Amino acid sequence: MIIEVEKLCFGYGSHKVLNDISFNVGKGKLISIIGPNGVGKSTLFRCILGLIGEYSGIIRIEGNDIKKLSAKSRAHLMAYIPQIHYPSFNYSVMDMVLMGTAHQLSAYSKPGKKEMEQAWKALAQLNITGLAQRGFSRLSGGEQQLVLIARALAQQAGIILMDEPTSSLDFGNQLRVLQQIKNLTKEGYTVLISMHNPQHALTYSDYILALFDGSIIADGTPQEVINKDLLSRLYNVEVQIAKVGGDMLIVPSGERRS
Amino acid sequence: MENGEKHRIVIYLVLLLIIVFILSFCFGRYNVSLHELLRILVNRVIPLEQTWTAEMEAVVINIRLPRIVLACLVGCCLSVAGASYQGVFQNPMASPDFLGATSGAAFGAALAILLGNSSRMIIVSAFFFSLVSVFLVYLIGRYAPGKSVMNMILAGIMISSLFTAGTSFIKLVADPNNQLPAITYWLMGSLSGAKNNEVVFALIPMAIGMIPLFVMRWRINILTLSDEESNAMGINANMLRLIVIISSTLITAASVSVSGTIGWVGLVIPHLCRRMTGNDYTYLLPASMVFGATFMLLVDNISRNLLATEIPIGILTAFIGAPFFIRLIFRRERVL
Repeated sequence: MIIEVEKLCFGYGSHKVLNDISFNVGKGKLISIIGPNGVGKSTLFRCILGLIGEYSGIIRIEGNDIKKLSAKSRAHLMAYIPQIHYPSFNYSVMDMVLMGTAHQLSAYSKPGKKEMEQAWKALAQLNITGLAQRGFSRLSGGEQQLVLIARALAQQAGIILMDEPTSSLDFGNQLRVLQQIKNLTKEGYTVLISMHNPQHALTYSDYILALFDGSIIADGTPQEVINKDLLSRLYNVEVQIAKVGGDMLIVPSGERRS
Repeated sequence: MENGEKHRIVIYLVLLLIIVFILSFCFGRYNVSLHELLRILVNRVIPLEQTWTAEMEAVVINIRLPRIVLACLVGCCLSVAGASYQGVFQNPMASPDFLGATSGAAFGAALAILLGNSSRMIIVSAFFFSLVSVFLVYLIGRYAPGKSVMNMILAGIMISSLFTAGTSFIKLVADPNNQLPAITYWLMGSLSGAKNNEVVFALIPMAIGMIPLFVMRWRINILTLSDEESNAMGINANMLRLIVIISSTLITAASVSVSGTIGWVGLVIPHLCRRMTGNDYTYLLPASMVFGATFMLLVDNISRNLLATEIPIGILTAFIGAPFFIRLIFRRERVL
């Protein structure tokens, strides 16, 4: 198992955010975490990334307890892709992607030939080498998200954590970005995504964790997990699940009666 | 823009600085020709036959040299500090006085003048209070609840205003015949009266601050990202931010303590350089260093030659900087 989370609990003071979370993730899988806003998805990510140390339980990445790893070693294992936010300065795409190589450089050096090659390779993997000299702020949302993914690839970590990668994208870009992410898992990357849209989780993931009030209330393959009772409990709406061909489709059926 | 091109731009800027540096010796009330000047300067290294007068040499070496060197140092430091603060606070509007360094220095200088101290003590006091004000801002930002970067920006405004009030009070109680004009003149900023030993005094903290910024300059890029991102990239953002803030503060404090309040340079020069080299600090920082020095030299040449009496340089930088910045606001989207 590449990610192992055992009995993870975390809270701010008396407020419990995560309660007894346990799950395992195998290599090359796409795992979606679904649940309403404020349910602890981001906190769970922060724990796994090692940004929060005061939790109880154990998180192991490739067998190493992350509390015992340095920031540098964690960066070797895991990369993080935030939601798109507008950077204060308009860096070129190349400059952005090169930042992903920081963990392998000493504090006094800058990216050299080897890092440049890694960056070009990452851009090539996503077919966006043409963007290299463009300014990041001037790209479309979908292109920006791909650049952030390229930055994670340049970091050369096998595990990628993504925080709602499609939240600000239009319909076409959402599907294109998700397809690229799916392709990465076929190349052996393990991807953990917090997913806004349960339909995307259903269509693209290998495994789904449903998080509610800080606990996992369902986990398994999309077909096992996604059903109308779970979705109405998570999001407080009534839905129908339709079958089209072999695919499952989530169809809204109005407000939940209270 | 390719990196090779950015490299070339920095080299052009260095050449420009060298030309302005040499020509600056020739400007002034006392006329020294370029030919004589070069002979005087070369003579310091390789003895030449003396074709110049002793006065010429005294003017060049004892009066113009320290002033020109000081202008370069101050311009270089203020620009680098501005560029670094902009990165640390992820804010294109940040400048060296962002954390109260300038108002602290002004208060320290005014206090020293009020107490009748020597010019050496005025510098030391300005330097000390400059560091004190930034330290206070840092403490407030660090221990107040919430996001520390935002807290520091707010604390910077408050502490600045507090020290400015202190300076005003000192002006109120100062002797209006000699102390008050001295304080007012200091606040306007000037490089006149620069002496070789003052340059040396300022040089030490400038070097201590400049070296870490220069060698770690690529990493400043990463501070413009969120802390989650930089930490997940294996960078200790808090530690790096602290190092950059301390270094930038040292060079700012050293500059303002010898030159007085010189505004706008630290805001405008980094922006001009961002236009030329892009935002990557690998090139932005060296470009800001040399272009800041060049700009300050040019302004100081105007300051000492335009009118019969010297114009305080802070007034000139504001006259040049503010309109420039208005233009920048109108073309905002190109920079930000």
